[in-house]
Amino acid sequence: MRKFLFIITIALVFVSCNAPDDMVHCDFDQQAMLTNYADNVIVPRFNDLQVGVTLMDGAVQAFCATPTTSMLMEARISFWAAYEAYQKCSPFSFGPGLINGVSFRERFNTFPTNTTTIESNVSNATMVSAAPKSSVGFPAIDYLLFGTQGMTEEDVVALYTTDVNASARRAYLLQLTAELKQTAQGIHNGWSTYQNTFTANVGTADGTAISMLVNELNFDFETLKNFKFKIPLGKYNGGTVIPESVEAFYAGGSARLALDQANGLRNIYLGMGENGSDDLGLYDYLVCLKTGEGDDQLLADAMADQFTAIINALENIPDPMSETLVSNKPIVDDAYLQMQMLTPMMKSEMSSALGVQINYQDNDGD
Amino acid sequence: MSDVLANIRSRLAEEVSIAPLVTVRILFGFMMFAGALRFMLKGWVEQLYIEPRYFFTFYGFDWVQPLAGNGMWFVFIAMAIMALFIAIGLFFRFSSIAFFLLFTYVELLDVSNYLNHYYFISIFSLLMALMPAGRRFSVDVALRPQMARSSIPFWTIGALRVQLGMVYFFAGVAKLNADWLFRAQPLQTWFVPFTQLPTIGKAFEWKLTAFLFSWGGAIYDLSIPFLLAFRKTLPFAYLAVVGFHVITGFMFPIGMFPWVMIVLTWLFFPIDVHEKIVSRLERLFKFRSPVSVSWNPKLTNFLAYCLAVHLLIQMILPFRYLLYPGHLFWTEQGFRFSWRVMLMEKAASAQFYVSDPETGRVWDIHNPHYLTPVQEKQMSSQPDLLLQYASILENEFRSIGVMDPVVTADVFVALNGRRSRRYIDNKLDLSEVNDGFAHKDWIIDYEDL
Repeated sequence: MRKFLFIITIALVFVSCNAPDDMVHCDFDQQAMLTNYADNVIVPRFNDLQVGVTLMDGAVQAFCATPTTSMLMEARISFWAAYEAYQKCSPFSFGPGLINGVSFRERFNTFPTNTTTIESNVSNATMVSAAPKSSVGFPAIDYLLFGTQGMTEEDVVALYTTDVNASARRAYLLQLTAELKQTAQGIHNGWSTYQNTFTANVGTADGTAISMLVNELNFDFETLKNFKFKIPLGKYNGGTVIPESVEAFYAGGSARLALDQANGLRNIYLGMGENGSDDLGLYDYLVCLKTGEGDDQLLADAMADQFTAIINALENIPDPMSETLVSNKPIVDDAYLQMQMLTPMMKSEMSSALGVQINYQDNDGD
Repeated sequence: MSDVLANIRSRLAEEVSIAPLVTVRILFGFMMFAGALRFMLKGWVEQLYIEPRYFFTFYGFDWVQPLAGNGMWFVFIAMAIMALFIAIGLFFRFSSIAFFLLFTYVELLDVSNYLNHYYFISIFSLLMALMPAGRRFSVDVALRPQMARSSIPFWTIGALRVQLGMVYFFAGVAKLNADWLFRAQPLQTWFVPFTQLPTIGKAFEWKLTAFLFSWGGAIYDLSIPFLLAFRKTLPFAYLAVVGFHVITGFMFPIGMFPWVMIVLTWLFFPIDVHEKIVSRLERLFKFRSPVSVSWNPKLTNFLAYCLAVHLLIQMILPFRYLLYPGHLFWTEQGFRFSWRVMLMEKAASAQFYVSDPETGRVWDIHNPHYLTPVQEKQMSSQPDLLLQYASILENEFRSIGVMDPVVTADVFVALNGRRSRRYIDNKLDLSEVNDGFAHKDWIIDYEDL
């Protein structure tokens, strides 16, 4: 025992010395990884989102000033660009992404949206700031810009020109885009100061940057799998498909948005920046930790492969996915199955290897 | 040979001062009071015993259910008060039995909260309740001086020491496995969070450190009961106990356990040390030291034999896993109640499905609908809990009109830094499987483990 303590002491004293490579289990620069995430992934993505929603807000203002079909088209195009930018930001609801302790996702993308609530908000001139999350954000804009199925562009424009509630509808739509613009700018600004806090917050215990990132990555992936696929596929109701529960139901671009989100998640995992740079990421950390050494494949590579399989499966799904769900359910089912196969790796193996607790609940172990 | 036996017999029967029981009673009581208080302040009464919709019960104890409403708060408040009573020696017989019952009741409520050190507290509090620890320097004695006793047979203290020693020894025996000794797992994995510590962080990246801690831990656990038992090695052994528990206490989320062990291993100190402490306390609080009366109730011999049987069972239980085929860490058959502490890193995920054979409808189960995060984590890698969850789901779906729900699951488990593997037969209707002590042959073997 005395010898044991002695050796430990010696080991700690010689900390500054560098041990040869094969003596080291994994020497990984967490701070460099976090800096890569902040500089090349998170901040550029929030910048894209901010630019996207600002352009959308401008296009919607222009449309409301002169509600014509061509202005509507411009607004729709800007809606797509902003919504796609959002898909890459949704895993970052920590730091500035938490607004009064609530994820910014809630008011950006709660779907399916409640059209009854939206219509009553419009006719009662309810302020967006007072409207529930089921009647705001991208899903509400989706409904307001694209209208229900079968509506032509002229039908939609009519709601903003000749309809009794036309002016109230314009006002509601303007507030919706303004809210997103304001929040996105706030988060982007927030990151300029939060960035240093984030990159300095090393370690993997609860509350560290890596713990938040891994938890969010898992949460966002679960959102992709559960809300965008399992619910529409009827996995929770005994098999009855619910086409109207898909994301962007009115615009009809669910598969495209899901693909954006999956690509975004994969690039986070790999540490790929928005400008195409490939620097330290969770993949590299897992390679360093050699998790699964001695098995058929390292965990790091197995996860990368599975992300690719998910993306390939998503690319096969034609939009509108609400129709594909009915006409070619197996093709949607396949994407879900590919996601399901990533779950054990992402949720349990990766978090275990990094020492990150998922869904942290404070308790003792032995 | 018979001389040796006679020697042991007479040593065990030897009358010694009651003081060690008194010091341990006081320390144990205050520790348990702090533990109950901490549990309440952490909000765990609410989180673990009021909020969950379902509870995982121990085999044969499904009749143990939590109290409704604020009942569980009363249990914990009562537990804290009983612990205080134990410390000050008030109604000791009653308070010690009540504490044992309350504590054990709580532990039986949910398997997903099982910890070896909770099991240890249950056993230790029962042993304390059987002994006359309240018969000196206690409120009881102040109120009724005729209750006071000055001496006890040595086997009372001996039994407590053996019980305490076994915790370490079997924890050490459990560490004698290939992963622990030759892969330094799971410690290598558990060190990852420490690699970023200032100054000493680098050392946690070295393989050497993980191996040193693994081997050191095993040697420590195996030898410490013996080193504590001899007067010559005791001071240094106790120093090691304090060092070991303080270090592990800071490194891992193990709650009160390190402090409880630091306090209880006092029991190994020589009896005259305890006697001095208690005498001094008596002077300080103006207690009269008891006149020389030995504790000798009619049942002494019976009690001694009961303890002997108890200790024998304790020594056998950790080896019951040998009766099951397969790897213990993988199947966890015979894993609990064996002092296997901080021994493996298991990461699991379980996707359950319920189907209705009549209509062909299939439901995917979203575990958080039914379970807390801790329950889900524990359930996903423990076969008996997988079965209990299947029966929870069976009942849920019966209640919504599925006559004969079929429950299956995709379960993947990763052990000690290996890749995850399928854990159980995913075609099997788990709702038709009865739990029991027989081998669970639906667990898929991990052949090259």
